[in-house]
Amino acid sequence: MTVQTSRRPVVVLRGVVRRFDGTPAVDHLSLEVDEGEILALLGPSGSGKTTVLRLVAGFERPDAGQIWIAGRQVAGGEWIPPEARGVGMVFQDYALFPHLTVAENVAFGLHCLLQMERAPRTEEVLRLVGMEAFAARYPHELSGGQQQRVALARALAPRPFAVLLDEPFSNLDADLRGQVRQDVRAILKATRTSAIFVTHDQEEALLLGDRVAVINRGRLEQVDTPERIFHAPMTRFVAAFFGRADFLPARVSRRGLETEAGLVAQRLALQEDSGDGDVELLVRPDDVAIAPASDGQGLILDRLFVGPEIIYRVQLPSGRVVHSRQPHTATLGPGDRVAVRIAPGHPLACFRDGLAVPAEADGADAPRPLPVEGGAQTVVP
Amino acid sequence: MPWALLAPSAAVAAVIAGPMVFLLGRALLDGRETLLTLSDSQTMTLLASTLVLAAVSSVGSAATGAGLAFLVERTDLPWRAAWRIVLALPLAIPPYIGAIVYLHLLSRGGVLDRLIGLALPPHGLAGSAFVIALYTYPYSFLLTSAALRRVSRSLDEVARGSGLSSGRILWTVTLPLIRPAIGAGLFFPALYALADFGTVVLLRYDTLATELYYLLTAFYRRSAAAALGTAAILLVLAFLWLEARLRGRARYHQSDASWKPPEAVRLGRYRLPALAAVAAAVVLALVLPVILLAGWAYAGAVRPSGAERLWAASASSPWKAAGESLLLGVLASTVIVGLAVPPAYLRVRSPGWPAWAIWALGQAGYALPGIVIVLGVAFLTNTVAPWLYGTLPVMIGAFMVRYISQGLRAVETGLLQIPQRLGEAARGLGERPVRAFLRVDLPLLRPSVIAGWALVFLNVLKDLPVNLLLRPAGFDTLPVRTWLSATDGIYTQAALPSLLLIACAALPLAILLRAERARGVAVA
Amino acid sequence: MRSRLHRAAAVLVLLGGILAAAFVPASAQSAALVVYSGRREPLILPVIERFRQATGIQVTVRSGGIGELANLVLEERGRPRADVLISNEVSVLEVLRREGVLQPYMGAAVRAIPREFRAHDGTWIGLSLRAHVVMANRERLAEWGLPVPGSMADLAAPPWRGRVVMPVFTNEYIVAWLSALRLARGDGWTEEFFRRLRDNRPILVAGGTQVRQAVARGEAAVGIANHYYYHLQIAEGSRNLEIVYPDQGPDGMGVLVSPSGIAIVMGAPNPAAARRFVDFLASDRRAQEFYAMANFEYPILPGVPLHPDVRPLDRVKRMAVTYQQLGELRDGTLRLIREGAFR
Repeated sequence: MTVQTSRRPVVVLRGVVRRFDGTPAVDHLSLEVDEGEILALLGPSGSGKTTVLRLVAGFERPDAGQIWIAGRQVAGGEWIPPEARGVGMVFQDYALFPHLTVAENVAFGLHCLLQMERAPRTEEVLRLVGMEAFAARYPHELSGGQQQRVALARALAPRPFAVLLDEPFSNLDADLRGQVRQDVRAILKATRTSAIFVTHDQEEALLLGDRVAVINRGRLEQVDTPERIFHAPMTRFVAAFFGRADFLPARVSRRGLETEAGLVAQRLALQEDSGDGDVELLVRPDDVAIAPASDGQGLILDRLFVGPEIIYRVQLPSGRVVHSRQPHTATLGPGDRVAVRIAPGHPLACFRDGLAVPAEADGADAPRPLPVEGGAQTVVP
Repeated sequence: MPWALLAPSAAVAAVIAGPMVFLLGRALLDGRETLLTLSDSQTMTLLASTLVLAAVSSVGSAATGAGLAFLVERTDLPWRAAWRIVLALPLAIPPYIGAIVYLHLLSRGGVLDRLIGLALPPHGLAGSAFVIALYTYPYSFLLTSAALRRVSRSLDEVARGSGLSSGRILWTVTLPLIRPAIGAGLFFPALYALADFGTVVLLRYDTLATELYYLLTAFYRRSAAAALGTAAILLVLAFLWLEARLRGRARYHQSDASWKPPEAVRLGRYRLPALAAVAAAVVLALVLPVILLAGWAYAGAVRPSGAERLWAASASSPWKAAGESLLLGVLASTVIVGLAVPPAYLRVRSPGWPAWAIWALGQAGYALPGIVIVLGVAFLTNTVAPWLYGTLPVMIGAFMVRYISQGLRAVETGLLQIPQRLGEAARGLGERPVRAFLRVDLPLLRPSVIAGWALVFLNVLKDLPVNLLLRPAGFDTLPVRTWLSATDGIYTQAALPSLLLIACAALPLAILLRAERARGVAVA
Repeated sequence: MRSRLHRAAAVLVLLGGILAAAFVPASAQSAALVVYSGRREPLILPVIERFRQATGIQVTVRSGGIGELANLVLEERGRPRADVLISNEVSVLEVLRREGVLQPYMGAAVRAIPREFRAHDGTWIGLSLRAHVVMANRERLAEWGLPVPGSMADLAAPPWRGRVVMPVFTNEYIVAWLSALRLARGDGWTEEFFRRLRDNRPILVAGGTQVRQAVARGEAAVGIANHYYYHLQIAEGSRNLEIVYPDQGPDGMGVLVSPSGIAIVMGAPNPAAARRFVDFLASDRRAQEFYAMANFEYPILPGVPLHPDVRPLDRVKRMAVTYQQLGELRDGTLRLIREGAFR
């Protein structure tokens, strides 16, 4: 990844390693966050994503690699302590100071300002997050969502180069979460603040991040726009992490990809006669079409009614199970035999040894068409 | 941060370790004498009798304290708010005064004997354990009360919902949750029994501490005494291990916003017996001694004998002594608790062997017989910093060796309740570590610091050996006044200083109780 | 917030000031004579006050147990802090003399003290004398059918089992007494006496005060202690007590009479003042009278009147020992005590 002049990275990590008791929690990780960009750090719990955040904030020292913030090296060579890095942090539990009022909390980081400038700035930030009416309250008198806003206001008040948010929405009720997410994104965008936020919720990452970085076992799997992360996963891990994903073994042949659910007419940048032509094909429920057929190769195991649609679990002759999405009007039931067909409206991602195999004649970096709505045509009897 | 913590912590460690290293050095230098002393069958016997005393008094003390705490915190006992305070008050009375009082009440020819012809001489193991338990149970009481108040009602309700009876809930839910508190409540009297000299010598029970005292004062075998002191340190380490085992991996629980006090257990027909038990504790530990002391003071003032007149004429005013005791208490506890903060911080925020070592040293200091610490401090100061000799700072240093453990525990307990994130949040907002500590942790830590301060204050007030042997000339504190008259049997002259001592001790105690009630801080 | 920090800083400065002030008295009083006193305060403070008035020399007194103070003197030997040590029991001074931490002084006033009541090398001088005796509770004697003991040796006999109270064996008075017994009766006899006394399970207490109280309360029938403890107990109003000077018969070995004493510490910071203090105490008749009247002790200076209730020394048969002998025997006696598991 090269630094381009047109982009102005605010936070840069280069080959950062952090070990705990010898085992790397962050393993040779390189990452950039541009000015005004919101980067979502996504990964399962224990993947090291929070450690990345704490490395940037300065609460951890990297064992190797360098970190720059706003063009200044802060770790790996020069060491800048957290208080001098100019990044704001929003903790999972908000970490509001219980002995200070909302206003005092927000003003906490404004010690560089003159006394007379502090109150207006505090007020300004509180207004930004819509908490100006609560300035005199103490944290324990606020709801979770309100505390969240105060924590964000406190982090924003000193005008940091970047704001780091550690699982910022995980302590909120589900119905509140959606609203707060949008608010936070709006506030960050309005202030043109660069932000890194850590989450284990893929939906949240896709919704909020300008880009999403997927981390697994301390390693960066992929960093990309939400669309590309979803549709062009670079690794099997990324593919599996987003949405319901089934992997079908496929043999690469001259005609395309041969699976037990039939042929998929797609060509890969692989030599068909290379012998090891086996790949794994990523199929999502909307790529799998089913039709009732007494001699069909699929057997319906289960139907999961999820409101607007139905997800069928279908067993293939090999015993492998794939999922198929059908409209809520579908009437098939467990035990029915169906014909299964892979019918994507777009090229499917293929993996070999966990890594994506590029499609033939398709540059890996070229943009792909956006998904077609209802890509899998359904056959309803 | 580590350096800002390590430097003061190392200084504290140096002060605490000084007398102990000195002790160890003396024991090692005279290896023959040490081996001789430690292999002496008499030493083994004394070790056994010390352990028995420690075990009996700590179990008695912890059981009394925990039982009273349960009655006050979890039942519908009448006047609970008042009991909560009154039951902690015996902490203000030095056990050696308690020993004198009970000798007069229970001995043959004592008050009880004259009144109803019943003599229950409080001698030996039973008497010593009784007095020690009577004056250390408030530790267990305060600790268990605080722990009980942190156990949330929801846990109780969950247990009840799964069909457990009240008794089973107490056994399977409440007790395990307050186990760390009970462990600490066992630990204090045990350490006290190791270090105590005044009580056991008056009540005629031989322990390592009395042996050590005789080795020094009769035999002048200082190496042998050092060997016994080293043995005492080893015992403390064993106790520490035991307590850690008992505590398990339990940590202090902090009540969250949804905390509600559990429903009080209805005592029903046990109401009266329970009330009697609580009242008995107060009468035995507090009322009887104060009445007896007041009687003595009155008799000494109204119709003094010749010897009493002599004492009254020569002794410096107990009021001046009270002033000096208070001054000393304020100074010492402020310095000691202030210095306890960095090592406590170190132990909570970056645990490792240095932090553990300081903590263990502090505990050992509490359990070592005072005279070895005093002589060690005297020798070291006289050799290393002679210009300091006989000044208040030396006294404060010796008090630090003896009582920093109390400050450490209080501050640590408080720190454990402050999420580390708060400090990080402050640093993220651009505060340097020290200022982040001052602006965030310290204000939140205040109740714990105050509790620790009050505890150290209490101990400094009651302490005898340091007060007696390291005081600057002419600086006669209340324990000195009490002791000088009491050893001569002139109790009428010892009574007023004793009462003043109890009154002075009530002051930090009141502060302690307020701090403790304000935030539910565990006190030790 | 900032003001709170300022307030904390102010408090710290204030405390620092007080602490600093605590240094001042130490340096300001460095010229004062420092007396470590194991003697009861009321007995020594008035005398010191008169010394101060007579000489204008300031005195600071540190009172405490003589055992602790003696250990303190030993710990301080590299840089002595005390000028003078006053002991309630001379054998402690003998120990310190043999440790070499006492400074010999043989002024004119010292020479006026009878030779037997001062160290031959002038390291310590006696201040007052006390007799090591038995006090008895008449009611208990009658109740338990015990005779008034005529000899200390009686107390090791079976009828006295559990009826005797005495200081622990390591108490300086007892150590000195046992050493004297060894001189008077020989090691074999003493060891045998010892064993029987120990097996008789006497009540062992911290010191003379506890002995007199235990006898007065009737916890024991008799107690072994210095004579003045009896008189102090009587002065407190006890009526049922009797004092016994044992072993006074023609074959009796007599009672041990030993002095309290005073010594100059080797390397004393104020040697001149220390010598004046010793001179003053050695020649001060009023102090002697005071000891005799207030504490029922035997004055050491000839011609000073005795308290009328105290049996005059010329009617007391004393053990024929010198304190130097007792000092020399001390280690052996302590070994005996330890081997006998006495305390």
